[in-house]
Order: sequence, then structure tokens, then C-alpha cells
Amino acid sequence: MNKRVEQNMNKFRELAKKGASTSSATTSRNSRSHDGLTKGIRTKEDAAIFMAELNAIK
Amino acid sequence: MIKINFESIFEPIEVAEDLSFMTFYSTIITGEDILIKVEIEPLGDPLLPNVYNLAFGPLNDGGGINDTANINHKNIGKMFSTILSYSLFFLQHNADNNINIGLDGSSDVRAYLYHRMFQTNKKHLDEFFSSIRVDWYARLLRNQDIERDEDGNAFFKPRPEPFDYKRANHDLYRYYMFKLKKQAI
Repeated sequence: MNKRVEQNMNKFRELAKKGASTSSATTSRNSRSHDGLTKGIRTKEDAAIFMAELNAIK
Repeated sequence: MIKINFESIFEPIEVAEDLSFMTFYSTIITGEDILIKVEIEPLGDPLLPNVYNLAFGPLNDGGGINDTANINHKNIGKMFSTILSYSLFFLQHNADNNINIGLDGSSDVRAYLYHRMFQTNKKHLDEFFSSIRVDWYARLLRNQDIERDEDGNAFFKPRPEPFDYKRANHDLYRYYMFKLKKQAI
């Protein structure tokens, strides 16, 4: 890793030591949660198309 | 085209102690600087363990990320370089945990953006990351039906695989992941 990239890593490290306030007005902790990519279906329409195609084959 | 260069990134403003988020300012076309928040949180999909989801965008009124905002960044390459540079830091900090970071191509526009970014910056990113892509498949059972969930719908399962750089640009992956290359530690 070159020196410039390592310097950037050190900047992140130093800021993490300070620890951003989780109640900061500008960076309050995002309440968004990830429910995962369950079943991997992009949309209900995708699933419906897939099932229709499958049923057509059967 | 998005040009990734880890030597040229925006100054980080804040980094959470647990590394779950960081912020920086990106200049937009109008000349205004807007605060961008980057979050790295567990994906929470039992079929994709050790995967952390990467999200980013300007803040909404509640302090969360507005990931639907349409922003014209003056230097989108530098913006993505900052985000991926922080991802590198996160992975280095968790080097013993075999963690993957993932980008959700939840829309065709986003998926295309990520797809092209990894394609066009393969050489640079390969110095630091191993790239993995994910498609979802339903298992064909021996009775010629497919595996279904409790509701009778197709049970899709993620299948991580190495990025196929010869794959057509319109044939996008659903999820884009990367992990630390050992020599980048």
C-alpha cells in the first residue's frame, strides 16, 4: 500500500479514536435497518414473472 | 466514467467509534458542498453471513441517509474513491473476521453504475479487493418442481461467484461484494 493511501487510512483511524457523536445533529445514527435480501426477489413483479414462466414450462 | 483513486479522496469529517459510519463533504455541480454519510452495517441475511451492507447518501431530516436523492456530484470519482477508501479501512480493521462488504443494486440504474465502476477500475481495485458478485437462483428439485418457501413462492438463494468481466453490461448482478485481499492488510 503506498504512502498516500496509508495516510488516508491513518486519518480514518484518528477520527475513529475521537469517535463521532451518535447524537450529533449532522450525523445522528441512522435508524434504518437492513432486513437482508431475503429470497433475492428484486420486486414482486419479478417473482410473478418468474412463477408465470415456470408454470408455463410445467 | 467513475475513476477510482484511493490517493485522492475527500477529507473525512467524522468516523464513528465502532466504524459503523463516517461523513465527508462532496461538492455538487452548483458549487455547494453537501454532507455525505457512509454506513456499513450487517446485512442480516442468514444466507449471506459475514456480509456488511454499504449505504451512502446525503442526510434526510431525521439524520438518516436519503438514498433516493438525485445529486449531481462535481467529482463522482472522488466521491466513490472516498466511500471505497473507507470500506478498505473498515475491512482492514476487521481483517481477522473474513468480512465482505456489499452494494445493493436495488435498481437497474444503481446496479449498472456499480457494475461499470468495478469493470472500469478492475486494475486499481484488484490491488486491494477480491470482487464477488451475487445472483439468486431457485433450486430445481428432482420432482421437476422448484424449492419453495412456506408460502409456496419460489425460494431464491444467493450464489456468490467471481465477477465475470466478460458478462454483458445489460446482464447485471443483483448484489456486488468485495473483500480484503490479504496483501492489502
